[in-house]
Amino acid sequence: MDINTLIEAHSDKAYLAAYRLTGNQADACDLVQETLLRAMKKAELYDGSYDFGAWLHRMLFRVYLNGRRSEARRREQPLEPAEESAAAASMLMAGPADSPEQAVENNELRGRLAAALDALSPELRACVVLVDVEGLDYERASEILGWPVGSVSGRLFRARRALRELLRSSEGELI
Amino acid sequence: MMCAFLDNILDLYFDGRLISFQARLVERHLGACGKCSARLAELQKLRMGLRALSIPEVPAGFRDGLRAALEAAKTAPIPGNAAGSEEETALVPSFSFAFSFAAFLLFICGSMFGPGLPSQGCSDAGMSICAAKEK
Repeated sequence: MDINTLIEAHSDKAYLAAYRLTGNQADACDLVQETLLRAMKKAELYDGSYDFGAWLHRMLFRVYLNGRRSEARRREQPLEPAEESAAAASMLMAGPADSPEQAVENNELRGRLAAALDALSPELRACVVLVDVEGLDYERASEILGWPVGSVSGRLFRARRALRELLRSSEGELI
Repeated sequence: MMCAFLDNILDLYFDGRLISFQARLVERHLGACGKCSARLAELQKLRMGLRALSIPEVPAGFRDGLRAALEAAKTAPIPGNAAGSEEETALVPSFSFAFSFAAFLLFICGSMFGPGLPSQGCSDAGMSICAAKEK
């Protein structure tokens, strides 16, 4: 596939998924670039009967998980979400609201939610992004992540529980 | 009792993974238990919150940067394709393990049946170097 076509057709969608996974623009851009480079190198492995976007989407998640594993081996990750991260996320999250007070409350909530998502391990986060955010079913998520359906289900269960706990610990009540 | 059981399968109900009989059982309990209903509502709110997280626009110059990186990678030789590269000369882990194991077995067999080395002391076998020396 031509480079321009590849970028025009797939970079934006890849960026959305990458941002959901990484939680920041710089890492999302790096992830997209690494995925597209990998796609070019592995182009001969692409099966023409398979949707190219779906193949790329799957590759993006694999690159993310592999990258995070090697990164985790290099350095320890903080257990608590950084306050800066929560603040930055809060600033980035802008949603519709009925009143200014409601807007402030919603932004604060979204900031806490983004920070809680950041605190999850890459595997748990990938499950949440695929099932809860992108709305895929377990089978599709299992295909993308290369894990059995039971593993996806178990990790999703743990991820949701962890999110609830993190949100409760950051504030008195959930959402 | 029922709440503890439901706590483990409520996620599956929420994701529509239960068969109709199980789902009816869960719904019957949810109708009577405020605590479990609240947990289900939490799951729904959590999902809505996650979907409402907005994503900032693609940064300016993102596509140009991508294009430059991909063009550079396209023109650069792929390291794995170079003749005599590390990938080609490297031993596959399973092969190295098999070689090590074979060498170990050979060593054990040699120690058991061979004449023995002087540093290992004298073997009781008739063909031992020590026995030959004694004769």
